[in-house]
Amino acid sequence: MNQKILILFLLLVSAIFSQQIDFRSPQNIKLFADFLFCDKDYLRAVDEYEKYLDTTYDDTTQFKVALGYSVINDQTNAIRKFNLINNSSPFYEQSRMERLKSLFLQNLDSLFYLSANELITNNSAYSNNAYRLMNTSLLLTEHKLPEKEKYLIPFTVDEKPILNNFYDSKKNPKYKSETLAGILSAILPGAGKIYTKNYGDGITAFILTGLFSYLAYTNFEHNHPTRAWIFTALGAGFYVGNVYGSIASAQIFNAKINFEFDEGVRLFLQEKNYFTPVYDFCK
Amino acid sequence: MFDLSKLLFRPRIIEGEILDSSMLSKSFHFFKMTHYNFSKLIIKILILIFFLLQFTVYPQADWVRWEKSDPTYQVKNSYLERNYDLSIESISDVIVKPIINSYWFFISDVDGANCPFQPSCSSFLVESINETNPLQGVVMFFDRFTRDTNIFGRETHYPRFGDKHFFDPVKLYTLDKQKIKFILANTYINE
Repeated sequence: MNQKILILFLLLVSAIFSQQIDFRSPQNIKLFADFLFCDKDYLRAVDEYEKYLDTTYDDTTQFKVALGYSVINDQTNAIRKFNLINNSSPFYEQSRMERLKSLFLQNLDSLFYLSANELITNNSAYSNNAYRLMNTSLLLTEHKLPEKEKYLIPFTVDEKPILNNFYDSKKNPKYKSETLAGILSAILPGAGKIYTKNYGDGITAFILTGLFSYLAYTNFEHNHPTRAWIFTALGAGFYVGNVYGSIASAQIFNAKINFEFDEGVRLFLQEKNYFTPVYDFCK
Repeated sequence: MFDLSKLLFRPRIIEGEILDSSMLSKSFHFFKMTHYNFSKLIIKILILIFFLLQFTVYPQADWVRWEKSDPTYQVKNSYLERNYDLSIESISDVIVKPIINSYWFFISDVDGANCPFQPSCSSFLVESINETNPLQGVVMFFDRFTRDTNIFGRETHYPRFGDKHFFDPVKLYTLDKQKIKFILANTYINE
């Protein structure tokens, strides 16, 4: 009997005392969210911060939520959250710059340039950052670039040589001429492919066309017209295919140049963190 | 009166001796069950079964949460997905489809999927004709055959399709720049 009372007592005590820690209190939710944020678990951190914001308004938390969305590449929600930070908040300027980055990553071109111009003309603390982001983004579009001197104005001394190279590559990309590739292959089979740096394919095209042409010639010479015409057809097929392939090869080469250029610019922007400030919320 | 001990403790050999069941029943007299105890035992067994059932039933909930999948370990063969259709939809189908279907049925399927490219050269011909026109399609095929013959530098030139094939789609060669989507060499394309 005593044992039963003791067990009942212990159960009651544990049940009562366990209720004393309220894990769902806003403060504890925020603490947990801060931990997740600093642990770079942004997806869950945002979730917890949102719960916290249901009970309390806190612009720092609001900014961190937006930042979290931006990091996990949910740019739509990031833009929505950055918009919620009003101009009385100390994070207002940063949120404008972060919003600009999100607009760029979301490929919302017209809105991006509008916001960038706003930031530049409003003499914001991040005007220069916005200017740099806008000028770099111009490299990824078909927009006309300004004069080089004007273009390089906002960039730092370290950045200028890199941007100078990007500018030159954009203005004068090292494309291969499709027409020239076709003509070269028409004159000498495979030459067009070699011109587009497809050495193996170029040599193979030369051998195949040459081989079938030779077989056609010798068969005509030795009076085997059927075989000769078959080889002529095959030789002609490979010849036309090689001219066609050289033009296609030049197009692919140029697509590769564009791809590598775009990747280079994007990598540069990533390294520069899209010219956004660095925050330390995890001291 | 139900005597469970008689049921449970039958004569058995312990160190070579046969124990009498009556001795055992005396020793374990506390196992003698009244009707009341028996019903209690049944309830206990039922509770035990109930809890065991929980373990077997509720783990199944995991399948719902993570969605049930039907994995297959069958090796995929691209040539098995071929469309052996002989319907005539254009003039070129009159010539191309019988030739290609015959090649697939009598040669390629018997020989195996040996073309290093995806799509295979024969599929490339069909796709290129569908994508462009018969004349351009045939020219594209001759160009593809040239690339197929060249065995040098493939590893550094083409993206990969699965483990065994180089990805060389028709869209790269239609001469329409808008259709060209450049993919870096050695990038793995999902099957």
